[in-house]
Amino acid sequence: MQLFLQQAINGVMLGGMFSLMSIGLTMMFGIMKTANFAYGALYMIGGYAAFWASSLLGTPYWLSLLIAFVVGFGMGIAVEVIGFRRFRGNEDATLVFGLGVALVARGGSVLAWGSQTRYIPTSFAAYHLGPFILPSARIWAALASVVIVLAVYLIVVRTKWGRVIRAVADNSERAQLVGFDTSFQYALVAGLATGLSAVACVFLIPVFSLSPTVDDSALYTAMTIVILGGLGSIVGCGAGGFIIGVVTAFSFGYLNSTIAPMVPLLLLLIVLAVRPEGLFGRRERAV
Amino acid sequence: MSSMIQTAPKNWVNTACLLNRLGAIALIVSLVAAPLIASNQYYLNVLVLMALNATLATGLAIVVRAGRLSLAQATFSGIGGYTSGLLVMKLGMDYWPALLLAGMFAAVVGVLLGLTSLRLRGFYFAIATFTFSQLVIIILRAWTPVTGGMSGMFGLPVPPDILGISFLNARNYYYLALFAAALSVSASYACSAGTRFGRGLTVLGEDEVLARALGVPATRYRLYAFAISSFIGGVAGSLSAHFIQGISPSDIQPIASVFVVVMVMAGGANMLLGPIVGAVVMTAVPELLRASAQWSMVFYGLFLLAYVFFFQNGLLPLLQKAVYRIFNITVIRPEYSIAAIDRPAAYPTRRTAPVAGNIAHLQFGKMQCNYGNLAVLQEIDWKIENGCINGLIGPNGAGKTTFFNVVTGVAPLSGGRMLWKGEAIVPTPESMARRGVARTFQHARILENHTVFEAISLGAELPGSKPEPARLEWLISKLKLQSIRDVRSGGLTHYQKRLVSIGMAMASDCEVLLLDEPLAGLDDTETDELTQIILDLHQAAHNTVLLIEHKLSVIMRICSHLTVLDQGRIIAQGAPKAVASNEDVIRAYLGDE
Repeated sequence: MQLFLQQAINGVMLGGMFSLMSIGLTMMFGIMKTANFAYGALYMIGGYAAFWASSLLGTPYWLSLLIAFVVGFGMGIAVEVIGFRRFRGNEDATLVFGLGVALVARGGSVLAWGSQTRYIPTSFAAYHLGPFILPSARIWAALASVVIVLAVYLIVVRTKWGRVIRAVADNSERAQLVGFDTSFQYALVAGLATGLSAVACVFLIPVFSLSPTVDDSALYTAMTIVILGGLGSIVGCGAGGFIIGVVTAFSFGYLNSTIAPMVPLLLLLIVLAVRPEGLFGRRERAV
Repeated sequence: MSSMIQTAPKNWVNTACLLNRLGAIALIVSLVAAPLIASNQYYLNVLVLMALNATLATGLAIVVRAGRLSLAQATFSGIGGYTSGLLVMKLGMDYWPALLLAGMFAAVVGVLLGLTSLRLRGFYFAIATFTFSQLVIIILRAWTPVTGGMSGMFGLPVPPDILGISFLNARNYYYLALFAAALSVSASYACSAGTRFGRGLTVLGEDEVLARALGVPATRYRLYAFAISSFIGGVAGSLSAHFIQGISPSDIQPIASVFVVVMVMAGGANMLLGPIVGAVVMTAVPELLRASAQWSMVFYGLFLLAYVFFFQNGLLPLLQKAVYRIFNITVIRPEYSIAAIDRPAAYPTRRTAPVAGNIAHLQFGKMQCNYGNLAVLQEIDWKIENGCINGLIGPNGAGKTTFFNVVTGVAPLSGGRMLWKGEAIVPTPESMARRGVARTFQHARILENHTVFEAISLGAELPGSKPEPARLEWLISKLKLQSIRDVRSGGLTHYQKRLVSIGMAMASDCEVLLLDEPLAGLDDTETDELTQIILDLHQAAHNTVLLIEHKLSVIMRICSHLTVLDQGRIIAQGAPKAVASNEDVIRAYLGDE
């Protein structure tokens, strides 16, 4: 019973972290209909920005976060303006462009910064609540996830700017005709999405550490969650993260650790086979 | 009558053709001669790797051309390597049958993956294959007693000698790998221009909706393609594992599959030898530069970016263009044509006898079509008159195109019955095409990468008719397409594309022809000309035509029966004159007083 509860707690925290990891990808999917395969790489570089800021300049934690956000914002705008904008509507080219950026970034970051694992020194300790262990880094990450996902949801659904970007997402040509600068809005969304992913990476460094290889796991986890939740659905991102988190925690808790990683993958394959639009996505109509 | 239009371009085409062949021969000769020049063991190893990569990439191109980007080709190669390794090491099997079984097992796994995921498109399919590749790695790592876990298997034996040729010698191994690559290219040819299956697959990759309307069984063909591609992957993987004499999960990381994709894209997926060129360049360059794994990764990434920005057709077409420029050859443009055909006088005979007596080709009883809760068509009772032009009109949104979509199995037949020659059926696009129902689309769908003649020929072949030259030429002359017979369809005008799409539909022995607003967007001259063409074709073929059209004057002139749809229901039916004076019809078009 104690194992069950501990894994449930772990699962919920992990779910929060997973949602945090995928919010940027969700935004790009939902609003820009862009499958961003460079997501993991940009996420990883965002983490490095904070790491170097804190280790070379000795910036405090909140400033490192801010620097990561700014760097991420810039990178997001750059990939949108240089690449994704030109390939919008061409799924294969979008995919290939993303892969290209990811390969360059991954190879380049190993060359530039080495492949060793890095941490940002923090004062996070573990809380003990009765028999349960609650590592504070995880709690902070989960809380940050709730705050950020909720904020994104409110921005998109409740604010005036949210209405604009939803209009652009719905029919960018129309939105342009009505007088919105769609290129600008797209760039803004790409910047915000990538900035948030960089922030997510910084929050998750104490948990998953930082090395050039985090790009794969981030891209991969984020894709899983985004597909499970339904491409581009912000509610789906929260729920998908939660589900994958709980499933992962329990499979690691109860199964052989070599087999456990299979469970979330199988879950994803089943979802793809049975309900490819995801749990919260809308089904597309043929032709 | 014989119409000769410029003979010069014909020679130009021949020169281009000759250059293409010379290029292919040069590539083959240099591949065969390479190990004679590169004597050093290291270079020989690189060459073997290159030939196996070429095999792998050529195999992947088969699936890519069918419109699915797979991120699991290296995984299939791994499956092949592990299979033959286990068969030889654990069961003591001879290598050669084990190699065959390795390919077959990879193909079986490919079919299983294909069954669950091939219906996914674009990005979804890529992710499904990516997930699959991760799963395979986890299984291989976890199943330590059999697969050796993380460290994999080592000490795999080199294939035994054949006819005294020892494969311990890397040079001989290279020729073995080259032989595999040659087989892979043959398979790739059979899966593209070489067979009807291949041509169907190519059309499927270009335009799925059109392909299915022409009778290509999309799901089955893609599954075959995936199985063939996985088989090739398995064989290449087995050869590679037994060359290196080991295999481990790290050989088949997702990044390895991405590299194979890069090779296919870089060389040019749409050309037979494209993936070979891609594999040669992408294997040789990092090795020659002695690049570390990281630098190769950066190189591959930069190459992908260059590809997507500058040469989206691949290196080979780029090279082709450069060579053409050197030899001053212009690729054929509309003004140059090589048509020189005697026009056949009559419409060649038909495959099927007309339906006897009173049975209609198509009949509907209380037919209904719903999208969710929305009823788009309801209570459609209609027996379509055989052998004449039936008009179908109605205000926008009345459900006319949806009616065509139901008939051709694109939209759901949610209720009621649809009878084909008196028999109740559930239509699918490919089955209706094979029964002899051809259609055009409101926005002309054509095959951009094929010439007019090729496209019309495919229109005959894919639904199962024989593409008889006399018949095709007759059609082309009737459609007045002779002067652009060998021009790529992609560069045609709106009107010409219309003509080609009608030609593709009429090229088969269709008994029922569905024309969806063929006259939309045409000017008066074009309208008159196309109306006459439709009449002529109909009179020659005696088929049943269903015509959706907004140009009422044309409808009144050429239709012998007229049906009016409004809000998903038939509101009037009968002789055009009577229908035109029907009050319901007038109300539907002009609104209430």
